[in-house]
Amino acid sequence: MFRRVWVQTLLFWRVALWAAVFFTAFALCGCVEDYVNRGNEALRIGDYDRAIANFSKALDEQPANRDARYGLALSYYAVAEGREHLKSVTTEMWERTVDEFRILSKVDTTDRIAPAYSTSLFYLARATLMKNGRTNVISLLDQSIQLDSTNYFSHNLKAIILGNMGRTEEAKKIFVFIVTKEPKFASAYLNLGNLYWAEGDIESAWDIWSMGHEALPADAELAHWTAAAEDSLKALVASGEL
Amino acid sequence: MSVIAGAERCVLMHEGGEARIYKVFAGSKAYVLKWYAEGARIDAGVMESLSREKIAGVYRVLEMGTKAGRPYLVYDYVEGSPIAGAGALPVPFALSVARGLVRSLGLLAERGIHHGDLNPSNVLLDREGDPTLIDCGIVGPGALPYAAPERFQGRAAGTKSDIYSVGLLLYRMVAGEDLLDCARYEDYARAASQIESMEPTSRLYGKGIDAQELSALEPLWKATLRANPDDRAEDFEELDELLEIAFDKTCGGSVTWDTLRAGVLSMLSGKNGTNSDEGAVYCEIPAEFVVTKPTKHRKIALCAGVFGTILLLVIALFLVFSHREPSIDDTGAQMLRNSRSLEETGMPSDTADAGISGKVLESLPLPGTADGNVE
Repeated sequence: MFRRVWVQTLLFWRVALWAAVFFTAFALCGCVEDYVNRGNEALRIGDYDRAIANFSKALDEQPANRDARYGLALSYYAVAEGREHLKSVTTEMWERTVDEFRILSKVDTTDRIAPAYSTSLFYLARATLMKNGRTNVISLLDQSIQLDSTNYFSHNLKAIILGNMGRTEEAKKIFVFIVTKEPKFASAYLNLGNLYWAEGDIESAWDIWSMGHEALPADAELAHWTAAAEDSLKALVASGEL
Repeated sequence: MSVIAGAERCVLMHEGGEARIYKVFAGSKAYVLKWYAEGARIDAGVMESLSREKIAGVYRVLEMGTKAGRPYLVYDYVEGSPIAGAGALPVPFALSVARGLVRSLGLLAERGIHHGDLNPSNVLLDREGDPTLIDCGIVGPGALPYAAPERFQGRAAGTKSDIYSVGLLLYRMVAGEDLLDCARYEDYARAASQIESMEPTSRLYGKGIDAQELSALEPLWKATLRANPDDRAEDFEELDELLEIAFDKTCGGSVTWDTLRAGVLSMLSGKNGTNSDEGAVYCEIPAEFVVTKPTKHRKIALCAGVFGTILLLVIALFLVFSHREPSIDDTGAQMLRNSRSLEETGMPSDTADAGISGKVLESLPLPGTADGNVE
């Protein structure tokens, strides 16, 4: 009789324990989801501090929560990008952003986060260059391009750096690749034209800028440099040098 | 939907203790509705097999089910007359019919199906004298005058029991009467267990069958009418060979056979059986099988109900999805679109959602330059 009561009591507590574990896990899931939803809402209205706070709380409960980690990475991204507008130093903030994306890539192995991660790396590379122009950021840009080959901003920056290093032929190839893939990318026309201009090849510079001007007639810089090249060519013809 | 759902009229072809048989007309086709008496059981597995494929010389079952607690079958109407009404048939003709039967039974056996109720009512002869088997898969001993002794002991139908029944059917065809004619179940069981003592050859004397034919039939009785299943023909193939030998001995050459066959078919075409509806009176389709056609009002109500439900579902889905909160992936995608926008140069994008900063990455100051372009 005593043994039976003992077995029944044990069974009761075992069931109670499992129920407690189940309900705690259930409540915890609901709680984490609430934090993520609140963080997302805050992020969408630009309340980045609150977004960071909520995503961080969710991650305190579940460090491997993919949405919370993505939300936190995006929040840092938004803060850093906001500081870019103010021309502040953003290196540290982009480092944090990239760090969050790095952790996120362990949790989410799909390619859904690749474009944002790639852009963060580009921003970090650019911010690093802004801070110290001698730093070699090509590896960061290569990583960015590997994550998202359609990130032409990274291609563009890499080509500019190569051009500055004297590797102009490699740079030119990249610029041509960009304008072929994305004909509305004004900066690639400008930078490619500038490479020819610096080499004294005014005719080629005019070709590229006028091509860009044709593709982007509203772009003031392309219009300006096309006109400048035209004037130079006219002057050269008038002087008999061309 | 049932094939007889659109039935316009029917004929009650047969009404007996075992079943009611209707010929049902639906469109240009005719079907047979066989509605068994209470307590009858149908082997669903057999019916499933028979509905899946058309086996030569076997009826094709279209539907089976139960109405008012009684099983029913719907199968293609088979033009022909049951041999029950044919009387005594010339021996070569009877052998020819038996060969057709044995071939069909062999095909069934290959599929693991055994008829179990071979009797003159379940074999229909068409205009060419070819037999069609009906009523396979009925659970029970079958018609008592044709049931093998082991069937009275409750054993399931098998090749050997069907071979036994073929022997009795052959006797019925050549004699015009059943070999066993008893009053009670027990008497049939006893007679079947002593079938060797019935001496079919002796009983056929004086029935217009000549000595050569009796001699040709003798091996068939020995291969079929045996109480011990082991003493019967091994399978339908062996029985068919014996039938072929007997037929060759009795048919008298092709010209004689053709003449004989034509005469028998002509005689049979004048006879009516349970399968024929000539002179039959049209009747109402049993109420249990009548499918009420929707009236105009019902149709409108039905359509309104269906479309109303679909409309409600669409509205509900629209409400659910239109109020769906954007996920974190939506937010990320929006931010990236704003970041990578090529619309403005160096300024936050005008297309950015309120609160989400946008910046064109294109504007790129190079180290040591103000506008990002190589000077």
